[in-house]
Amino acid sequence: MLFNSLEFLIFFPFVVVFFFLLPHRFRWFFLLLASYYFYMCWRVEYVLIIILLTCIDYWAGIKMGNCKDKGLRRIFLIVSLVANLGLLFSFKYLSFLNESLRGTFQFLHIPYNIPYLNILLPMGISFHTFQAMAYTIEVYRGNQKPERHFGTFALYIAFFPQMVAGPIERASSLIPQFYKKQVLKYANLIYGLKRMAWGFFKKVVIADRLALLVNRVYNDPHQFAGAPLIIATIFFAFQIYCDFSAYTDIAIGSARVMGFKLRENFHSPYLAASIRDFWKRWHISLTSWFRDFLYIPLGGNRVARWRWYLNLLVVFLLSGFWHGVNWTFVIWGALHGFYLVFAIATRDARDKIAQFVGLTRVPRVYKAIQIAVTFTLVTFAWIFFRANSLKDAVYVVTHLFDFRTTSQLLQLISIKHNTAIILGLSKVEIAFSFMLICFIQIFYWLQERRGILAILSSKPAVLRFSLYYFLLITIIFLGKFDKSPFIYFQF
Amino acid sequence: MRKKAFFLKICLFLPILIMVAVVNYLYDPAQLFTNKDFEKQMAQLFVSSNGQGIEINDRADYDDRYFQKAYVENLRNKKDVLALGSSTVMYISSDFFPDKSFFNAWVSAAGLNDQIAIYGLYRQKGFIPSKVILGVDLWLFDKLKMRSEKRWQRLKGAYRYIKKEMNSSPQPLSVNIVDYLPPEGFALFSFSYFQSSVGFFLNKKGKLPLKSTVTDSLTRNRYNDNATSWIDGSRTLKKEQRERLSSEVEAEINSDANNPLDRMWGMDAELTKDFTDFVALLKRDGVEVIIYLPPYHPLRYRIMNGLDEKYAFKYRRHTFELIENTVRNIAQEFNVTVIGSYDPIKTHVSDKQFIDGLHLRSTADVRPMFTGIGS
Repeated sequence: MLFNSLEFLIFFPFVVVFFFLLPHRFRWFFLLLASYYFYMCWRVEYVLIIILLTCIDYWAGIKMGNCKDKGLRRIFLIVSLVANLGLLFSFKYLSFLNESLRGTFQFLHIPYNIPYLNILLPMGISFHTFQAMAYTIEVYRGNQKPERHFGTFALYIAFFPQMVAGPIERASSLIPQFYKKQVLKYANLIYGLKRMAWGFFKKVVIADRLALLVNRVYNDPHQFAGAPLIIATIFFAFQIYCDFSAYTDIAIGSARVMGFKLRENFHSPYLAASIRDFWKRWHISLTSWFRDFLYIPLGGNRVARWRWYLNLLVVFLLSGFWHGVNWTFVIWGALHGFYLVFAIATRDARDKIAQFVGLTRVPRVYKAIQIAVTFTLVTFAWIFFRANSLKDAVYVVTHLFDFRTTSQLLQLISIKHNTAIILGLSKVEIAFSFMLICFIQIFYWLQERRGILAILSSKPAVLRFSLYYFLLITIIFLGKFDKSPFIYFQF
Repeated sequence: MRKKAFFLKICLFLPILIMVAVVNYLYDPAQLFTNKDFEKQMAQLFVSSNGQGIEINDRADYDDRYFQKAYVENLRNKKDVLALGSSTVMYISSDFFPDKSFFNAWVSAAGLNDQIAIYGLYRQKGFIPSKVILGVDLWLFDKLKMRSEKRWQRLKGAYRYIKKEMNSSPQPLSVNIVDYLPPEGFALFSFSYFQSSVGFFLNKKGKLPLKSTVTDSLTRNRYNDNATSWIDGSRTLKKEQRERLSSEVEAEINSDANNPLDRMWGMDAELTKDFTDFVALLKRDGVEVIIYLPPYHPLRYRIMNGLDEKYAFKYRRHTFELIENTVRNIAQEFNVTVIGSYDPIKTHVSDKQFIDGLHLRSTADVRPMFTGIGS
């Protein structure tokens, strides 16, 4: 079930009403059924995978809790990790491995007879396996008591607001909330609904609108050169941000209506002044997962410098792999790893240059430059994330500044020609899309600098309700409603 | 006190939902909420085959998918020949098939889902025709276009039935309750349907769509001032369109090249598979399949095929050939006859025979392509 569908708008109020009507002791069961139903609306039989992983991880957690022997505990942990990663590999990476081997063998003119594997990727598999592994690792470390109630544990894995695209929650934060008797609170209701409305706005008005141009260009990039590629790449940067953060907003909002607090996953990432800062603001729950369960166990930065750099590259390469089954995602991850390593290696030199040039005397200008440079680097990396193939990505990169098509560009922007048939959006829509991008950036900048939301909350009800009305009208009149799935569902 | 205040505040948003529902109900572009008396009467008239037709004008804007369903419901005997497709096949008439019973089950902007569903209506009733003329338009394979065309959902039941029969692998079970409920309820509050209704409102300049009655529209002539639907399901164009000058048509095509035009982006794999599976099912049912490729206006063909230098950077080269060759290959695989071609030169159709980029002037222009097919 998609959040941006009529069925969710029917499902959600029904779940909320019955959740609060039911006695507390039955609520976990009702929420679990609702969560499984939510997942089964996509594919009935795939819920068995969730249930299978739940059983394995529950069993492993209990066994580790009952066992003092570290060696034995490690075995149970390995069982859980192998089960989760094995399933993730089988569904997500097996086809990719098969096709990569096929390509290699064909290149070497060696026959390759394994047929094409048509495996349907379970929705959100990367998210709920990581959430499950976070639990078993924390139990192994002794930081988390094993959850004895199977139903509550199953709900932790399958909780519908966040099971498909995060935020990746920690058991220590989410499970206790299932035990607490949630009472219908006005503040939670209002916050949750506002958050959901804001998420819908970002998804259907901004993300899905930008997607029209992005898809048109990136699905056939060889038809374009120069400005269309640049515009499409910038649009994608905001499409993926609005799409993914919208999902998080709706997840957080819908959970909050029922009284559950989920962690924030985004914090104005395009206002980051460095790549390091970017990763503290983008997909925060995944970044912290990799930090706690991969980067730190590898030694983090408490090792020799060369090893530190290697740790960073490994983490980001695996992050790239996590995102998708294409070499383009690996390159995207590797680019970010390289950015970080380069930033660390050159920090002193860059600080000295900034001082020499006088930038440190104008901190606002300096910060603006840092933000602009970071955005450029991140957006450049998005080329690889979005391109359908390595060939397409290389084409985009090598034709970004191809201005031989200037005459065609001039034709595009002249009055006579309608850009819709070429770029998927009319000139008016392209201008409007740029306005929306500016609006989003200004909004989040004001929120970061001045706490605009708190200021708005203190304004008279007439003004606030006018804004809510305007938001709803904008969604209804300007939203794109062809039920496009959220981008991160494919992970 | 707070609860009361909250519910009052929620009620403040009700006017928006009411506005959405009212506009959807009144303007109803897919005619989901209008009474279907016109369609039912039209179906009864056509089944009775008493030699009369219906003059179609702005007032008689009917739900053609519902009409097809009502027609089959009223049908007593199977048809020997059935035509499926969009307005590009609407000219095919019973004259093409002397001594055979014929019905043209075309619907406007028909996609593959429409064709599958309408065939499903006949099959469910046990009225499998001996011959099916399958009009294969380019957009059948364009996912973007097909995604926005929702009118086939009026025939969802028949569509599902045929899809089950078509596919070698079983259809996944759906527990989504929306899949089992009639679409009308959801359309009333649907924001996407609201946007279509607003577009319809602007198109009609605020006037509400009106329905005529069948009695008011009866005619014994096939060619009238208004477009005419004949008892064999075929349609003739209104006089104004039939008499359009070639120069007008060319000017419109050139103007369209600068405006949204049906640009084809290639063939979607899933839709191509569906088409192949549908042809396979027809063959399994013992149906003789004739694929008809409607020709395009020579100028439009050049432009959309990326052959006109002036618009070359907007249109992908040789899209038409790609699609036509794929369809011919599929036809060859199943031993299916293909008549016509998107290329007007191959079908010996001149620019003077078109009333726009896609539609021929009359039945007479289409007839030569069906020589030898009528027996």
